[in-house]
Amino acid sequence: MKKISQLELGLLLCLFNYSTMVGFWIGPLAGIASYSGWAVLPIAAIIGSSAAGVTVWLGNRLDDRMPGHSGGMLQTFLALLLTVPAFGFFLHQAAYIMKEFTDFMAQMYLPTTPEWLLTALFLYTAAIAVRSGLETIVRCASGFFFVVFMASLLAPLLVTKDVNFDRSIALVTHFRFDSMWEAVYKTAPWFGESFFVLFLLPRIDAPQRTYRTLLIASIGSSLVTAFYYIYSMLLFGQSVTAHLTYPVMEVIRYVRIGDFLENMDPLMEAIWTASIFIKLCTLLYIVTLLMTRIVKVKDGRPFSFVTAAIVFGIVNQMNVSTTELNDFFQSSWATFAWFIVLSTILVLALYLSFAKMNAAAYQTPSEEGG
Amino acid sequence: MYITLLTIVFAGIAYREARFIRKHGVKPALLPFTVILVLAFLYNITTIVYRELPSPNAWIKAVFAPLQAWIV
Repeated sequence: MKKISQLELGLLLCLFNYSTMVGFWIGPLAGIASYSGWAVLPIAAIIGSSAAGVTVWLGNRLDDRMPGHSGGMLQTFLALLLTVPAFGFFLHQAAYIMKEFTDFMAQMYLPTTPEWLLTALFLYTAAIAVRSGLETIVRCASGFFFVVFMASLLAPLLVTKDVNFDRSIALVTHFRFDSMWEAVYKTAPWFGESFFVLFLLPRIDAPQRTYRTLLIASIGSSLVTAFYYIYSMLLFGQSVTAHLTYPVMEVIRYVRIGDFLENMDPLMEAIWTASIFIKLCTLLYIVTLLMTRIVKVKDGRPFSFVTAAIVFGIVNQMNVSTTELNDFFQSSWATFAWFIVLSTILVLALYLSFAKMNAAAYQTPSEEGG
Repeated sequence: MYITLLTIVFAGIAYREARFIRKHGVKPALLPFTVILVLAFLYNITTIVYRELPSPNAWIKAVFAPLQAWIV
């Protein structure tokens, strides 16, 4: 099986981080950090990807002793302690993103279509991609990357004439430590969730360079998001941006090219949907992978549809309004994500120290002498 | 109607994947697969029958919201 190159991983991570940040986080971020939000994004990217990088660094040091492979009772317990919370986290995250996306589509473009049908169709497509394997998802991401980022970088430039540039002074004068701290704390886990790479290490080529890839991809996607953030702020101001559910879509709606192309938003949303698809597929793949590790099965393919079915159940159970969903997300998700990332680091460190102790205990006297 | 549809979908998954597992000779996978499939089916049915069942969001919020309020 061909290994994933660092470039392919980087492209996947760019889409992974960008898709939800630009779609669902710009409005809440404007409410917290106001005009300093553009600076919060790269800082959060560095902190979040560094947290993910620590898990990858520890994972690299474990190499073939990766939890789940073999070991005594304690190691099995630690392996479960590592995989079960991560399984729950990614399962919930997949359901949350699916719910946000379904809400968005139902509100904006398909108001008469039942939400459960939208969820089922999207999950079905994602489950097929997951069943095809990681290579398919990564190649999809590489293919979509250029389309998504070219379109994303070009579209805001078409609304430049409507932008109020007088507001731009606020971008360098509105810096308040308390609001920036809160924004960084809540934004960094968006990048920290890329610690899923830890579970893909055996499939990655040159895994020791993974941290660099994580950092570059996170900063790159945060800068593109910051670009949209600045446009939203200059176009609508802080208050309106914070109160819009989907500010980026409103920015795109300002684009009018002559008389023949008045609404570009369906086209842009279709392109952006590709990045959401990649993120959902990646999350579903990780959930399926962790499920197979928990039940100790080698081939995870038969589990992809079952995983999708569980996500479908959680999405149905999250049958709340977008406002309630945003409230949950702002009030508790960041701490939940930090808890999972930090506990993963702790468990990996424990696992590594036990593995070292075991190796030392089984060392023969001749080896000690040599 | 919804439950019938769900049952048909799950039966489809069960048939297709069980055939795949048998064909590829990974027989030990059949048991965990069946267990997880049945659990997933029951979970889906429960979410439909008991609409007031607290979602994972409610649990996460109950545990982590006070902690986050203290941190930021």
